Amino acid sequence: MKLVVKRFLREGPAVAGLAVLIIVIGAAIIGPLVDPFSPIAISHALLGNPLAPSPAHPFGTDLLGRDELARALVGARVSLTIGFTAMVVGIVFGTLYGAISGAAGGVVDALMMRVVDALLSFPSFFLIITVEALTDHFTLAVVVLVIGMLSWMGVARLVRGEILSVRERDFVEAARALGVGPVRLLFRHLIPNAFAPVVVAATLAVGDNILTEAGLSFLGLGVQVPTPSWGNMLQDALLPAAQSAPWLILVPGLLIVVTLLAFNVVGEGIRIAFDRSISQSAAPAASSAAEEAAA
Amino acid sequence: MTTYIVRRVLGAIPLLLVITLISYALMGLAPGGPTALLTREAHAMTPAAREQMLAMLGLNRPWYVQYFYWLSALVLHGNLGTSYVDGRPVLEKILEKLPITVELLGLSQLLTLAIAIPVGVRSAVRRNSLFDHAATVVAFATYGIPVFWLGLMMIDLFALHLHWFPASGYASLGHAHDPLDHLRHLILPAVTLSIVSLAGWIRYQRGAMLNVLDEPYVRTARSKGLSERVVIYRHALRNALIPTLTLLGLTLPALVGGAYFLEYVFSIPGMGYLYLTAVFERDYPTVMGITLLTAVLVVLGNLLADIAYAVADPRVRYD
Amino acid sequence: MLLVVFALAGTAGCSSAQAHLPADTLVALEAGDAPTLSPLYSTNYYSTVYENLVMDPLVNVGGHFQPIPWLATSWSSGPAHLHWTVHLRRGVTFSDGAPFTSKDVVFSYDTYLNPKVGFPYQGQFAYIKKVTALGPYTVRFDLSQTNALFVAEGLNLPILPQHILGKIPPAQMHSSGFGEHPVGTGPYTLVRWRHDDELIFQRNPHWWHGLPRIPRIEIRVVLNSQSESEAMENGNADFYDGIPTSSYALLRGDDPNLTYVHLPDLYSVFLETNDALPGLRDVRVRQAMIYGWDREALVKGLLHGDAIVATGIVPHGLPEWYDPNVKRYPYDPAKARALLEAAGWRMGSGGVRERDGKPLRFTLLMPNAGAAAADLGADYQADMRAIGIAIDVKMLDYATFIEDLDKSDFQIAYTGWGGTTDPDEFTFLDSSQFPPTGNNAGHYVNHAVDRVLRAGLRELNPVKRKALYDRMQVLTAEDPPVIWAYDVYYRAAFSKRVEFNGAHLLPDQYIWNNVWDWSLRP
Repeated sequence: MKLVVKRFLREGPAVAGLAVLIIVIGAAIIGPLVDPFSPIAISHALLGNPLAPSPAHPFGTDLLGRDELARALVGARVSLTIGFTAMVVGIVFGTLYGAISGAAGGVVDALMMRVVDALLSFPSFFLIITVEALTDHFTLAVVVLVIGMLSWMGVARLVRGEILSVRERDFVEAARALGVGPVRLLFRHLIPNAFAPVVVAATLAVGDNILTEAGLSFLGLGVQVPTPSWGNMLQDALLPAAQSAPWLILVPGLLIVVTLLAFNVVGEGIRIAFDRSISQSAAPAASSAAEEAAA
Repeated sequence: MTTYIVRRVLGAIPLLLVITLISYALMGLAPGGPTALLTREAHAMTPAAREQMLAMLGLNRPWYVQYFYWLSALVLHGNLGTSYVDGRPVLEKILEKLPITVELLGLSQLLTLAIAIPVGVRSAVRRNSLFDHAATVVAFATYGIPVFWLGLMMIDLFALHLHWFPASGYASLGHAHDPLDHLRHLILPAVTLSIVSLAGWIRYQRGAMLNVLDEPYVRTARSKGLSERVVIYRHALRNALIPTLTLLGLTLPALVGGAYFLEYVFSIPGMGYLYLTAVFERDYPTVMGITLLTAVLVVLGNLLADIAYAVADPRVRYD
Repeated sequence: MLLVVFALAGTAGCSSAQAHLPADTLVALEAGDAPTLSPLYSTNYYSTVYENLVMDPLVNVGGHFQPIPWLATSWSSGPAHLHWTVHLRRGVTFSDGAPFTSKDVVFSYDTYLNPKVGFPYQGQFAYIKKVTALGPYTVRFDLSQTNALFVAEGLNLPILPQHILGKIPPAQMHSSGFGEHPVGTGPYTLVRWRHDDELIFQRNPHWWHGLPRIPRIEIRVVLNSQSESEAMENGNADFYDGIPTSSYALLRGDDPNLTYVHLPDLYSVFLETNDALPGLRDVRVRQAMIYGWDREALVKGLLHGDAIVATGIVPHGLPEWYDPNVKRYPYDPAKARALLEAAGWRMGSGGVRERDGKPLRFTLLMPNAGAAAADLGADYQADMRAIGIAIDVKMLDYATFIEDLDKSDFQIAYTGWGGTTDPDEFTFLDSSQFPPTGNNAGHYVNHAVDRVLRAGLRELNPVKRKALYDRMQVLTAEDPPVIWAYDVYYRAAFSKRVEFNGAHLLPDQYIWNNVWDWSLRP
């Protein structure tokens, strides 16, 4: 693991990306606490009259007189939280699903993968509306769940692929022969081999989820007012009033672009860092299986 | 090969059934019926009257009953049904909007490939050069751009400020069948989509080219004394293009879903717009028609990609 | 290389942007298309516009929204107003040459009222019991009860061609294809229709009223106000029907090449309250919710002054009925707080009032109507918080929203009314009209209002009727059924070459009523 970290730190862009993420996440956590302006307090005097960025309002104000920086900070919190949580939902579910499918093999595997195919062909948009309509309160939890459930399929396929490639290996045969139970086999030996690609997928997933949330919120199906998210802050961009206030479009958009770029380079960095060490990790897995047997 | 194709097609049928069944089930669960579309400005229409209209259209039957009727109409008569909104055949509505989306996405794909292929190839050939790094940076940067945001920015800059292109729509007044006019309208959205899709294709092409360059026969060609240029363009490139072109097959389903964000922002009445409106209006036959079409295209796309791969690479065998 | 392509395509297009408008065609812009042009099934605003170009009613809408003879030349009734005799115009033909006679009228009304056909407003006209032909140009209507709206609305339905639709079984009317190829006695005929794109109309040379002055009308459906604004600015269109608030700011009314129309409209926006809920049943709470909302600031700021703060149910756009002498609600948060205190809602923790341990908290349901609606919701939320009421905004897609509204499954809902030219609000406010019978989804109960509404429906004397609806406005201002926001404006723009009589212009679809009298300057 230390090797991996070292390799990661050698990738310039990845480190830069990580730095950006730290800044963004840090701002998201601390920002709203120190910002004097409220992201939801409207100003009657400024209704429909957005102010350009100035020292008083570094990001300007929006159409309801709200401070755009405050909104961006809270929006960062919201978007990032959704991105992360949805990622956890998707990754956990996807990993388990893919692992079980890969380990089980045969008919079970075929059936489970068919379901994945079916879901991938499904118009996700309709799913979102249905889920949204079925719940009473369209809360953040629902948004997270919906986005998470739209993203697990890729991970499932990935994990299944990894499991399949490892399943027939000697050390697994050995472990089975030694009577290691299927659950133990799954969690101790098979899944860890998928660790690297899953971590990469997880990193990229956060970025993708933020993008999905932005799209949903832009259409009005995501985070509801007055809670700002980078996505729903872009809703105002459709109004002609926004044309004379380009910061309304630029701020949330650029934040999304920069954050996503950061997630992508970090993900790529992780992938490279793991790349050359994967061939070495098979040995440790095999030796741990032997340890198990000896115990 | 034929048996393989037949097997794949047959195997896809249960998949399609499952998809359509789930779709209908979801609609049964989803609250809000097509009555909304009947009442948009009909403020005096009582709920009782709306119920009556539902009954008349056969919409108050349970979803599995409706599914059965829809399925039988499809299987026995090849009929996709008629839209609840205007009673027109779903197929007709789809065929009306499909060419528009195909034009848009086709144009965009063309632009994407026109850039991605040369850039990807060059990046691979000159691996780790400044060009390669720059291309990688660009790829990463563009990957994270929300397509609707970029669209808005493009409209703002090129249409509203520079007046180079129309801000939205598909055709100017009185130019309904003018392909040049269509081009004018589609350039901004096509370029927008292109920019956002570049990253994946560049990386993919680069990876494919790298793989080919590592192949033994390339080394053989080099050792035979052939110039680098010939090695690359005559031998390696052709094989490096194959994966990219087969990937095209997988983009087929996008034709149907349309890029609805794009169509929404640019007000282009294509498939995405049709689908979005149908879902919001609960126009189930249209939704089902498009869902079915998407599913069919996914299956077809996958199949075509696999076939193309097999045709191009004689080492691949299916039986 | 890409830039070259870009630039080329751009310049190639620039020249076509200044396309000349054809000398014989009025090019109009509409923001939406009609799903169908069959009056039997259309409930969409645009359907009405397009249908009225092709079909005529017996009685049309004239200046000041007064009924004027159209296919009917005169009408009279007995003292109880239950039996009406309507005389029809002679010498009228449908656009295909077939003569218009009483059989078309009888057929039309029989079809409209036939439950098997499924005309959405059938319930609204159920009081028309029987329609009989007394001769080729005389028709008799028998009503089951007196109805003040019979002439203005009942006789305003487009007349359908019996010779075309007569053979179709009622249950199959929906798929008859008439909605794609409507035929009527109107000033224009539909020549071509590309959905969500354009409709082309040609003048009817046999129109009974005379030859329409403009030979062709081309209606372009433009789904995005941006394109419409550009089209008008570039001289590519003659008539922009219904400019939305969002793009009027762009047009700004200062283009010397355009003639602007700016009229108070028939629509208003408000928040409907579900008065069945304990908190909202108390009139003081509802009054506080209006006093505490700075609607002036909202209209001035968010809408750029392009709306009128609403004072009651009847919009400013109906000046013949609008009564300004009602209780007003100027922005007064202090008064709002006092009312809430008097109603027993004391300020609790977190700035939200409570009573008996229950917080004064409501969910505001909104249809997914875009950023403008979201901004209004956020504005209302903020103003309410200032007086101690917590509002949660919930956005739903339109279909679900309507369903919840129908089932009265809401607390406060962002909605609106309008479009009718009569102040009658029976189905919305009468206590007998809870859903599904009627549209009183807000469960408003006020028996004094009930009495006035029921009397108003039966009163045909115009003076007495006006007094009744004045009383209705006074009563509902005291006991608000909804939280009024604003009355909207109707805006339109004409290119300079369109000549029309601006004296009696009416908003919305009624602006088209005199299209046969417009002309195009060469």
